Amino acid sequence: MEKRSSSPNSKVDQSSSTGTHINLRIQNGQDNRVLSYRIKQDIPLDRIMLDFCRRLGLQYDSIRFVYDGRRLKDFTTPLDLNMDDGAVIDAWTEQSGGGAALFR
Amino acid sequence: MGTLTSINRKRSDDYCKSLVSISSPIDQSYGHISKKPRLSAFANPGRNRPYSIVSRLQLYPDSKPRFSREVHAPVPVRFSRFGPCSKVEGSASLRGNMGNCLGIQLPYEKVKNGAIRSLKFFWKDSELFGGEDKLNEVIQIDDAEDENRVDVSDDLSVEEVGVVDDLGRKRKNGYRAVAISAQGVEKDLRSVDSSVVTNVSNPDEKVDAVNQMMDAMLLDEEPNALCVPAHRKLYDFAKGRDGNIKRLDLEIEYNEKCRQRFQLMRSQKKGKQIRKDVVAESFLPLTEEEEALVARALSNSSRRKVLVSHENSSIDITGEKFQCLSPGAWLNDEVINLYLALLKEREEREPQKFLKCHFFNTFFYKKLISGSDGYDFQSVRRWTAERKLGYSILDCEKIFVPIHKEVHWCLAIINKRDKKFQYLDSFKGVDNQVMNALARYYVDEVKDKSGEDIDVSSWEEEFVTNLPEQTNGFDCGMFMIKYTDFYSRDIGLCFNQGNMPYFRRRTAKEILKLRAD
Repeated sequence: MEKRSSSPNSKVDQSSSTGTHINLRIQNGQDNRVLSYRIKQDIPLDRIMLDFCRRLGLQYDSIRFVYDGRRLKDFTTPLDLNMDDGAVIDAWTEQSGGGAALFR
Repeated sequence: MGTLTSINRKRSDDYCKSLVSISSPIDQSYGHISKKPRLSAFANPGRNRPYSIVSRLQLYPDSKPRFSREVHAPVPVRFSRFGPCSKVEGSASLRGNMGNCLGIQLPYEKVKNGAIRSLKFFWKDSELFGGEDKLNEVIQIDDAEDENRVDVSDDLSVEEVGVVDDLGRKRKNGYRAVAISAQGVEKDLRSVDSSVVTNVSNPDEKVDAVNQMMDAMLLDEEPNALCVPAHRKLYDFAKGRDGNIKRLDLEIEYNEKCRQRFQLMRSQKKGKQIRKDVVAESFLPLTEEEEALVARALSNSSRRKVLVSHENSSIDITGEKFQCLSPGAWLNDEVINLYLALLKEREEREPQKFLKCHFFNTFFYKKLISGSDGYDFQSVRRWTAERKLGYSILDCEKIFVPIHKEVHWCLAIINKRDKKFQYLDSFKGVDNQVMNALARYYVDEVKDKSGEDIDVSSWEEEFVTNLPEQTNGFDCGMFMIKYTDFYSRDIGLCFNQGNMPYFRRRTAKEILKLRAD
């Protein structure tokens, strides 16, 4: 709860990780709200993704994290994706449609 | 004389060979006046071997048909019918020597007139001589020939040669040549000739000569009737062949056309067959196993399970997400994105069968228009890096862009092949913002990836209205992915609302098997 109330630029525990760090941003597709993280390159991205959902009160299962058009898997690391510093991850909620509203 | 006979023998051989069988017996029996022109015609080819058929045919006296006609018709009838005509002829003949002598002989007038007319007709055609000379010459030669025949009856060919010679030279040299040529034929001939010449002064003998001639003419009527066809036969024969050739030409032309048509039909059939195969493939029914697989996946018991996990797209489909493929449910982005990924894999698997396409996921358009001014190229610039895709997006003939509109799915296509932007809405909606954004994006994309500046202002913006329409409130997603499927196959949108239940099951099967067909 503490972290969620803190600013979007909060950093996820850096103490336990070693190596070069990278700045990443996660943008909520719904409201374009952005959270910035600084993590080590070999840290699985689910760490910050889970944090993002927790902070925004979203259900992790329902959010699709997309980087450069590709869905992110839980255990992918920034190193795997060769992510640049300042890269943006998009967080999309489920899209669904059937046209009911348009159909009379 | 000796040489002549030898030549004549040779000629007679040729003559026999060349002549039709009908003509030779006639010659032996009574081939006189009337035969002359014919003989010349036949003799010439025998003598002048190098002559072509055409040239030989040209040597045929033109008068032949007329001559025959004259002989054909009964003289008295014609005489009575064309009295004035014969009178004119009579007057003309009076001017000549023959006319004088014939005028004396009244009983033979009919025959005489007929004979003269026929001869006249013959000579009229060859305009080399004066009218009077013509008559003289002809009759004289006929006489000579006549007598000659009596005298030298054993060698027909000799006299023929003589006659031919006579005619040929006469035509060139005129009256004088007749005597010379007549002399040249044979010694006997000369005596006859002279006797004939003397006969001219002697009316009685002349009458005999005329009589003979007339007899010959009358007798010749029949042979002529048979003889004329000899060259006519050739002509008719040639004509008949003309018809044959014409018919063959027509046949060839007809067959050629048939062949072309069949070839065209075959190629069309082939094309149609391929098309048919592709279409049939798009409607291939599911096997029982597949139906069972789909039914199991759609059951409630599978809700919490991860049914499939697609490595390349990193999409996991749980039973709950999969439920959207059950009848009446709205399609979600996961199923659509996975299906589009499968379409891309299908194309890479069989590139010859499908168009080279790029399928953006359902988030692309949202991201593209997420900028402050409703357009943000930079945010999607890295989406299409060749290093990531494994192919250049600029090589793609069609770029499919799913458009999500709150509760509706549409499809936009950047159709590079046809140079147009297409928008497909199963409700036939129109969205200019999509078109504008995509046009702008494509220009920026080309500029970014290749450095080229392209102009898409000439590209057509097509809001496709001739498409399968949705008639319910839940199938738009299915319509959208099927538009994509069919267009990436490069076939028409040959489905309708009625196919949707099948397409749902088919899509479910394809997702469960992680293979689109």
